[in-house]
Amino acid sequence: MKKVILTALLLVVFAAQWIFPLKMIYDSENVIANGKAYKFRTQPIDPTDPLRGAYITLNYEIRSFKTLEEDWVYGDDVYVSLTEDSLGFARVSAISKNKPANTTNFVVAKTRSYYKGLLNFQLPFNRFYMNEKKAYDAELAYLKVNRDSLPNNSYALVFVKEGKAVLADVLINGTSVAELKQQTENSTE
Amino acid sequence: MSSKFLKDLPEMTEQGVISEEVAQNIRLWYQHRSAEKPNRLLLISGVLGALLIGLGIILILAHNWDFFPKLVKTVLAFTPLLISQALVIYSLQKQSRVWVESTATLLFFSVGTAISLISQIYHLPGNIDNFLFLWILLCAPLIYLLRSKAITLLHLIFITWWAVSSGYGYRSQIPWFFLLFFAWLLPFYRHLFYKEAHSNMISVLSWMLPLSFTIALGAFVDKSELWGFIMYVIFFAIIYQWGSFKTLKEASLMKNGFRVLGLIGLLVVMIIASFRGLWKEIASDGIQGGPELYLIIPLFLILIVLVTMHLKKEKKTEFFIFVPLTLIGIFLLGAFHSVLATIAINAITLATGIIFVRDGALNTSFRKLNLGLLLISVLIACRFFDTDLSFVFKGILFVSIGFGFFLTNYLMLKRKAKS
Repeated sequence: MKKVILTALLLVVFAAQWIFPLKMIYDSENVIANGKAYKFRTQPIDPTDPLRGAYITLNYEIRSFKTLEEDWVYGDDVYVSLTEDSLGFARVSAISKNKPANTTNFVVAKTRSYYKGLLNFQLPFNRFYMNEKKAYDAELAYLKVNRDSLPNNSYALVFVKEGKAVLADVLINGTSVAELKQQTENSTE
Repeated sequence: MSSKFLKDLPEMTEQGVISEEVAQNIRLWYQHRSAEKPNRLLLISGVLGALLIGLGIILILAHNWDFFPKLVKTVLAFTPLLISQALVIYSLQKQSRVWVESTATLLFFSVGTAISLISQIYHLPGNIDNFLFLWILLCAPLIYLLRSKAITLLHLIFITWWAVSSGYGYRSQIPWFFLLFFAWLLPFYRHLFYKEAHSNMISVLSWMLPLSFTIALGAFVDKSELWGFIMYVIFFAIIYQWGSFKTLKEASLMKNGFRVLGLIGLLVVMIIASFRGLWKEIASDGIQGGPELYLIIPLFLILIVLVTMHLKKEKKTEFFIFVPLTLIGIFLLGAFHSVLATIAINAITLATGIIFVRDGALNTSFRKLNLGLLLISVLIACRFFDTDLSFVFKGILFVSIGFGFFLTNYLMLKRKAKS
């Protein structure tokens, strides 16, 4: 009897070991399929995570908003409602401490500093994992593009649905960073 | 060790040191013992092999094979998990400890591989803390379900890593879950302790358990230095007490990390607190409530229970048991009066050193004698930094301590030789 219970429990744990990663997939796919896609202007740089590999950290131009609400505590959740500007890039329409009732197009960011009515916050989708050989090139490509042409030509494509956000791609001059290296190699040939 | 001893047995019987019957009994005892134990070398190499393979897989996948489509990458993420779960079931049926421990280790890293690769594919937000947390949570039940020692050690290492990564640093949060994760291990430790008190695993745990907690404890200090010190004093006193109970105390010091770390920890706190500067800060802060108290109060109750048990059980009470309790009193006093507290802590440190020297000399224990001398000399050396003495005086003091070390040891050696 004891053996049966132990085996059953072991199978439950085994199942949990599948369910959690599968739920991560399901949640992400759900946002990609049913969420709205936004373009966030970015500035990438590339560090490494010891277990998940190389990534580029994305700093977004959207990082502060004027608000009348006070008493913001560092690290708290802040609901950032989104809209689009005339060029089709994401723009903040409102921020609040509570879940917005009138829209599903919002993300949950972390508050940073608050000073004289201006709240700084950090968007959560700030890591784009990349092939370890390409992360550094992506950073170089970004710097190059920014140096010799107009600014604001790199952005992240993010699917958003009810607070959940999935970062789908980072594009520099319309090209995905994952394909940038090949492109630069081809152009030098 | 045993084979060398067994080789000597015929010679010992020949020369009449032991009888043939005793020799036969010894042979039987070794035979019986080796039959009970699994092949230790195989066990260690199996676990180490699984550990390296598991880590290797994680690193290979962390490379990010971006030419594979998403579906292939997802299948790759789950393949190690599927294989190692199957292997665990197989080894349970095989009922081999070596297999169970090795495949459990592999499974541990396969779980990490699956969640790390999924976060990589979907660029999921979150730093390493959330990732480690989920990993720990999904593998913690394996300790009991597989009765795995390898998972126990991995759990301990990973919860310490998690506590450090989430609890230390700018704007970090108190890692309360560490307490739960740590407590989760304790029944298994207790089970092992009663089943195989003299095994290597118990020795390893007797160092790793207190070390892990010592490292993580600092993350529970929010703002108050005073509560931080009191928390460490109580914790070191608890592990010292635990290590002083009979079964552990009789083991060699190498096997009693609790007692050694508890003692060293308390002496280090005493030396740090002997500096005047610290008390000025503590007195200016005064006593404030804080989240530290949620931990301090239960720890203090545990300490009281352990001390009471000790006083009831042991016929001869060690004076060192009362040192931590006095230290707590001095720290509380320090919140109101920094000068008194400075004097008190220096006095009690000096007294502890002297009592160690006296006990060491009386019981011919070189270890205790030299520990006492060391404590006194470190205390004096530290006082050179915050007192205004002339160099000549400091020099003379050091020369006399040096002679003291030599003389006391020499005299005791002589006495030992005589007796």
